[in-house]
Amino acid sequence: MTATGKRILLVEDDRFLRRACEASLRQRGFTVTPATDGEEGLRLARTEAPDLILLDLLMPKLPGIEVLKALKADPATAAIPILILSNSSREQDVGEVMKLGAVDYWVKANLSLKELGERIVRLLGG
Amino acid sequence: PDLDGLEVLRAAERLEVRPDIIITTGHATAESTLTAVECGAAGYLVKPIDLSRLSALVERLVERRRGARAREQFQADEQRHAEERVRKLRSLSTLTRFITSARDSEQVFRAGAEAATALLGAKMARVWVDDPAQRVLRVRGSFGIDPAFEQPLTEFPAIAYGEGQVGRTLEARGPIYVLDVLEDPRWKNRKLAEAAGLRASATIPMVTADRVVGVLSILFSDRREFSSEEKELMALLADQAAIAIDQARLSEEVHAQRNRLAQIFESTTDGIMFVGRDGRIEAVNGRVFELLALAEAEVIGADLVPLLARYSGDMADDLFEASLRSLIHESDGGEGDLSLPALKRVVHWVAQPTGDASGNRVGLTLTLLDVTKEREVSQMKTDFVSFVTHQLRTPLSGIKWMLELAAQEVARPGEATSYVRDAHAAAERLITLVNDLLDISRLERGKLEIHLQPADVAALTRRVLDEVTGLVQEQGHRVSFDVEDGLPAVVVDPQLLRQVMLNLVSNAVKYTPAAGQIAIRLRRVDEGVRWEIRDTGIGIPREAQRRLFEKFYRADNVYAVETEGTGLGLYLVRLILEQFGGRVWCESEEGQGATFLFTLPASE
Repeated sequence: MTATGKRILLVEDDRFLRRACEASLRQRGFTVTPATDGEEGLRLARTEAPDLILLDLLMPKLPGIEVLKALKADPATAAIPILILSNSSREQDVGEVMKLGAVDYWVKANLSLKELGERIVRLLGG
Repeated sequence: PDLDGLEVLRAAERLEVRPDIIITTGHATAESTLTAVECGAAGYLVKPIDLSRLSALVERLVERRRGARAREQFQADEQRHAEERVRKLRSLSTLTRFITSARDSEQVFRAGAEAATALLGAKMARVWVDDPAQRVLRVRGSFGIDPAFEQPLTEFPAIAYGEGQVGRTLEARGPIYVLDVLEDPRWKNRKLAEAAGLRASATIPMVTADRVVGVLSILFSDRREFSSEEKELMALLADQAAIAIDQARLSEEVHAQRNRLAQIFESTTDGIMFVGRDGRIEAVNGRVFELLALAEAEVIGADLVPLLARYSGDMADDLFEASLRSLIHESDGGEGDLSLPALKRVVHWVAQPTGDASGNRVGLTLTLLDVTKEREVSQMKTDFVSFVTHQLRTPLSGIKWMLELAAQEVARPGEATSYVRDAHAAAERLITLVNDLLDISRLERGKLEIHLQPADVAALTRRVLDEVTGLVQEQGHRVSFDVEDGLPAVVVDPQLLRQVMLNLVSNAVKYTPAAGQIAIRLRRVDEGVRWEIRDTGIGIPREAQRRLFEKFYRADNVYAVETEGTGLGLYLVRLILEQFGGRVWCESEEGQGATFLFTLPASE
């Protein structure tokens, strides 16, 4: 099962996590567009029309929650599935993001790149 | 010749003291005999008079008269005694009523002494009260003391058990009657007694239940014995006085207790409210008004439910009301937090059902405690833990993923090495983070080792700028550094100051869009030295400026989230500078960049 052609927008402020995630997903055949903060993420979501957005929560300048809200509020991006990839695990955050329409909430520290990739493949299909 | 016998008889009727009259006549008719008897003749004799009959009649009449007189006398005496007794009982009853209604011990004692004096015709009376702690009796009330003798007579305000007539009465638990104190060798101050005109003395113990509470001492101006009636009266009076003394004492105790409780009620730091079965607030202490920011008039007598419903804030009113009502009427009590957003306060309440002595539920007692600080601290701790968790996980997951990739790239060593290098860098970041956490913890507890020494701030700044050269070039920023001449010397810990500068410089570099300008200046000021860094970034809104150097990090505080992990940022910066006696602040207009400044005091 390949993922050729599927475009993923990765919004992640930490450069190591961003680089590793990007490299791993590319290996699987996804096209990955990285964004280093929320504002860039919003902009790229509108221009790149990704098939999936991987969104970090704790970012400087514009918090992930706000990005999520903005994406869902904008008809141009509202339909794009959003996966929260965070290293915070506050219960209230999980509840809130699910209510706002995120597809799922995964904690990066508890996932290997292999698992992450497999889950995304399952999500997006071949 | 002038008045006949019958006329005399009739006239005699009008006399005050009517003698017995015997009619003697030579002439008797049935009619005249009848008339004489009707007119009250005591006897009717016909002449010639039988002398023995006359003498017998006279004897009988005299006997009868004597008897009548005796009976009269007896009845008059009885009458007098009865009246006297009634009079005394009435006085006793009146005075007793006064004694038993006296709430104050002092009134009781005085009234007792007064009653004794009045009822018994005594010259003086004193009430001695037991002080079991000291084993003495003290005069607590007196009546009839001649002011001239007041001083000397109260010179012996306390009498030990067994001492004197009073002391002996107590020990004997029975009355003692002294005919004449002047003749009694056991009496202490006979000279004084004589001068005061005191002769007979009676002392009666005042007993309640089984306890002797004191002695009633009554002194008379005559040498005399006491009738059993008088002794009975004195005993009765002593009993009444004993009961009254007990009552007064209990009453004083109750009063004192009530005062004590009222003071405790008012002085607690908790608010206390008693709510009756009808839901009305019946009793409240002052703290409640403070906690709820209400006036007394609004609270007392008010219905609890609508009063608290004002504060229910986000709770559905119906639900809140329902739970309050069930609390008042049914439940076994409960507790919870009441949020008062308008007062920026959180109050913890505890409700307990309250019953009367028979165990019937009469209402609810509510205790209110201000827990605003505790909730804040608790929330801060939660926020802090979740923040730190996130900050630790980020570099850890970075290391993990980098090594996962490196392991995959075994066939392509170039790639693998690059991943390993990143893992290494992430590991270093993690170490920095943990160290900063430790520093903050130590600084806060005053346990960080600070090595103060004179330092060249300009040189330190240049070294820091060297460290970030790579980052600066990446961003394409232009950095300038301007140092004023003649700067005073400062004393700092260079390692810590380096941390501060590194943090501020990195922030400026990161938060300024590419190809920006960063200007660092070092100036002399009154306090000492001022270091500032200005960037051409997006600036920081006013509300955020306050929170930049805050201790506890909230997820929504974007300035607390440090990318590239140079540490826990501005809070640590502040702590360190405060250690040096300096201060740090930010000046910024949104959209016009930001300037971060700190001062260091000049060393003398």
